[in-house]
Amino acid sequence: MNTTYLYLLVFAILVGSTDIEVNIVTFYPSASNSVSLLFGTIALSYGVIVSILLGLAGMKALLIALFYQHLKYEPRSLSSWVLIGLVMASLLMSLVFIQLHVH
Amino acid sequence: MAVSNTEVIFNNLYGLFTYLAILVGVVVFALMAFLIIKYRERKNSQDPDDTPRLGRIPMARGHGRNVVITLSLSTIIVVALIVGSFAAVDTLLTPPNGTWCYGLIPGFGAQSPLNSDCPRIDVIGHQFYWDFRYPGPHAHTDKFVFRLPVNGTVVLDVTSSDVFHDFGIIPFKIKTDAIPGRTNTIWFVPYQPGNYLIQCFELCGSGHYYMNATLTVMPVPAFQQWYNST
Amino acid sequence: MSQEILPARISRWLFTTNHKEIGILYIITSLFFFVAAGLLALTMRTQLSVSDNNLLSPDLYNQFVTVHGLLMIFWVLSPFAFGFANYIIPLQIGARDLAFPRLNAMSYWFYLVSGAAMIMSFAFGGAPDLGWTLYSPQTSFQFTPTIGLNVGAAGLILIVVSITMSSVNFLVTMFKMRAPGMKLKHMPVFPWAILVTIFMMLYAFPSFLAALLLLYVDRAFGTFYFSSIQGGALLWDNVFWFFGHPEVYIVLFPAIGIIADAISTFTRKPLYGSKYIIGSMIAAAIISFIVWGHHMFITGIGITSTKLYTVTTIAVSLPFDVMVIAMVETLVKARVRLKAAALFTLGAVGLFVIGGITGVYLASVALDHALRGTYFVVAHFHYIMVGASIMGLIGGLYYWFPKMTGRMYNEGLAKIHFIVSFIGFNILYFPMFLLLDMPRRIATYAPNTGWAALNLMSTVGGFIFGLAQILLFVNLFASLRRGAVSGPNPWEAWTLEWSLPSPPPAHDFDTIPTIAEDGTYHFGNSPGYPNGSGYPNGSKVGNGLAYSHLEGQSPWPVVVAFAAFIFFLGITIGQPSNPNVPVTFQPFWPLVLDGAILGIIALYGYSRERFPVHEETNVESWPFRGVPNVKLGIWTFLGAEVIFFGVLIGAYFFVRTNSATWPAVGSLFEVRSGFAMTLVLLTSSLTAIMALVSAKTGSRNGLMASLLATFGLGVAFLIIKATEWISLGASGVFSVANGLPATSYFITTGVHGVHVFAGMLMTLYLLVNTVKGRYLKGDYQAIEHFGLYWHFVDIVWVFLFPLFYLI
Repeated sequence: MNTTYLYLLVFAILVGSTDIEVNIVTFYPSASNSVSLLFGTIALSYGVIVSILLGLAGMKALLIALFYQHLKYEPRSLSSWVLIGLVMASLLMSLVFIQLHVH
Repeated sequence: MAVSNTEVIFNNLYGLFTYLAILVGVVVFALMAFLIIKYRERKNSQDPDDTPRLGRIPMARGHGRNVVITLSLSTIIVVALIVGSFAAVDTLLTPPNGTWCYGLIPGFGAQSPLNSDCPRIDVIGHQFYWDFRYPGPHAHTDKFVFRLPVNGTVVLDVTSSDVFHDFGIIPFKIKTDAIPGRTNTIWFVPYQPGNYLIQCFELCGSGHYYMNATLTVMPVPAFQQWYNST
Repeated sequence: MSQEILPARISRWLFTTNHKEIGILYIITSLFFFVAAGLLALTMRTQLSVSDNNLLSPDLYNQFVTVHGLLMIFWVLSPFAFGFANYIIPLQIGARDLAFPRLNAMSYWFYLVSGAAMIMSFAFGGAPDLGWTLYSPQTSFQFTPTIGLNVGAAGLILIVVSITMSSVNFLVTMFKMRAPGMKLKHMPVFPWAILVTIFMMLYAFPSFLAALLLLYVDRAFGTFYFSSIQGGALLWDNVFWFFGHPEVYIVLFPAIGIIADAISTFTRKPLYGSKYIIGSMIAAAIISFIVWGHHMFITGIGITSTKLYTVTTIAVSLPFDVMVIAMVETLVKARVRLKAAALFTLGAVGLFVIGGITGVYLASVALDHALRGTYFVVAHFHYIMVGASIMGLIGGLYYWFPKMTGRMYNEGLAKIHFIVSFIGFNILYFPMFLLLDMPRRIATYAPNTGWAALNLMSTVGGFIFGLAQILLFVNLFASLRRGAVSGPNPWEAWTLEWSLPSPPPAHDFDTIPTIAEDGTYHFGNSPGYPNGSGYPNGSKVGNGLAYSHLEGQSPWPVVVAFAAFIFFLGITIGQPSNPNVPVTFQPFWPLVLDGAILGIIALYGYSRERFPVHEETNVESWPFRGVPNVKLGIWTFLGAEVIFFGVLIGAYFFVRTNSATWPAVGSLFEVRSGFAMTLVLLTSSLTAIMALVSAKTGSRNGLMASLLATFGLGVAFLIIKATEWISLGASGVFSVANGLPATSYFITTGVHGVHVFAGMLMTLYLLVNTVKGRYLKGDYQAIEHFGLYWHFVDIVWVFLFPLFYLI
């Protein structure tokens, strides 16, 4: 596929996902009347929405990294810097989570 | 005789660690000294055959087997230390219900009817002194001198009103951090009447070095008399 | 090759980028800080030698103990080690310099100016005085209303920048510049130790940087990250020690590398189990990132966490057991030459054993209830940091002094130095184990504690140890002129640096050596080690060029460092007008502006300078084959940025979890503006990648348009953000009641905004060059590199948007 088309396709997915993210917050269960529910009665739990949002963000990040930063075509080793960083950051957050919530 | 139950716990565990530490240390130092002396350079000695020389990467040397032995022995030792530590910390961090109550001095480990509603003592750190807040019916706050009855189970809720302090009763070998917004709980049973030094163990400002107090452990009748008079 | 006439003027040292000269600068500067911090320590020991002493006021004592710790850890131990790394590593791997020589020089100058800032902090109402660990909330402006801590923090931020630049440099060098045949497994232990150390540095220091940034913002803007009673103290504790624990291994590992290699040389045997030693170092480095909770054992984090950290901390002792046993087994059937370096490194092993064993005591959460905050801890870490690390580094100094100067030191005096140091060390620190009842960091103590005798003994030991170091300096200074000529290999060692003359010529190797399959070295056609010219097997190995030393001079590193110094100084020395008002940000604008302008000019000059870097084509480069050096450097840097932003975002999670209430979605921030910002930034990523496409296809108009669009979109992003900030600020969001939601937002997106701004400056630079016709004839790398950075900034926003606006 022509690279320009590929980049435009990725861009379209990125924008589309952002649109989904913004609209999904209308599905929050909320007693306040400032949030209107799209289909009248559907509301997703807070945890589900947060998971969807972070999942979409992760997917967008992956697309940007793989295609705009070209990691898909680079030696695998190049991704290792960022992957190790992510592992470390996750360790930090997990262990602190345990500190805060597990007694 | 030990001054508190926490001192006993500490001494036992510290003793275990020290016994193993001396064992390991002596073995390693003796080995090192022996090897250095035995294989020291002498006028008539030659360089060994596998001496690394400039011009080539040295040969690999060593058996994986030795690594396995080292790791296994070390693991056995450290598992003992971990098991001992876990047992000790379970005791240290599990305060029994209740503390001394007016008119009711529960003994440690006794099957006495502990009233779990027995109030606990609050210890609050300030720059640069400790507040000791006694519960009712004679509720009051003391500074500098902290009176407690002997053989009574004491549960302290420690916090701070300003910065990060650390409350430690030195001879009892027990301490806990005093953090604003958090309450940390420690407990102990004093075994002997006497005066014991309390100091702050986290640098909290210019007065950190004199943020001290005295724990005075009193015989039960003397304590009750004192408490009733406050 | 002829000896170049080297200018001995100051400008040679100010403008050098040669790794050997920078190495010497690091070593000498670190020794200066060693003496300074050591004098602080001796003063403290004198104060503590008797009870109820008032030689040092408590305020001064607290400042001394803090600055002693900070100087030793940041300005002595690591720089001393990296002085050796700078000098020796390229030689040991068969390279002629580091990958980025000017960056290397810049690292050194940042180090120097940062040390100046730290020492200057004494003059601003008092140096930092809460221990090098700087616990919260005593570091908040409320409890520390003087600005010495700000200036000290500026010094720390500058040295973190220095270290990050070094990490990137060494990582690229060690992966991409090894001589042919110098596979990673053939490297001696010292390079491996440095490699492991810089991995830890890369991933630990960004956490410290984030912590320092948040601390500064708390103090300057009255935010509540660390001063909030909803967990602020523990947030600092976690973020600091997540960095702090790997840090103490960072200051230890280089010395272990020196010790291992020196033991091999002076026992005339190959190291026993060298691959296990290396494997253990890697294991210990990895585990070091999950043990930090042992510094928080009695903060009340819950029994599950404390047990977990007990296990991980005790587990990390296992690789060290393997290392020590391997070093001891090296002595079997050896021929031990007890030269000074051998004495110091073997002695260091012994002291390390004591330090390590007592570390296991402290790993037990149960024992920690008694030992935390006592002199037992002080003894433990001094046995490691002085006993293992400093002694090991001094061993390195004796080991490599002949190589660096061409002279031998006086062996007899060095042996006396060892004996007195070793005895003094133990008299100084062993009594501290017995002082396990005594709190740390107390300015004085009462007579009835009974601590006086041991304290006095410790002070006597301190003076013995401290004064013994005079022997080191006298020996080395005198030997510089009058020592016997050492020759290239006085120790008959095997590593590559000993194949060069002592001291090596400016260009190091005439011809880069090759390591053959059987492990033998080949230098051109000549047998043995002589540094011959010519090419083995008729093929070109390296370019054989010796470039004049003067070619490697550049003024920009020192100017950039100086600019950064005055910039940060200006930001931190502003005096608050009213100590009771939370928002005290009062930068001293003349310095800030001067620093910023000078910095931009210097960075521009740096980029424009034609600086020849000889990139060898025939090198070992696993696992980064085919990746150009600069690209590898950028990805390395982005790895560190992941931790930096990860910690900032983690801090946000932390404060949010600990808060009872948090504003609902859409109430504090307009989802609309966040959506707009996201679209703008995503589009700018598209234009950035299209710029690369244009550059590759040689389309000047396309490139100009894409870069302009990227710039414009970046500006739009910043404008939307600015309007948002202004409206939030005007509606009084910056108040105690709203505290953390707003401040966590401002700080996290603010840091991101600074990254966007930096990207804007880069885009402008690229635009200017595009006008001049660059990037269109196959030299598009700068566009690509900018893109890598820019897309990363976009990725960060992709996460920030939902985290702050949508949940």
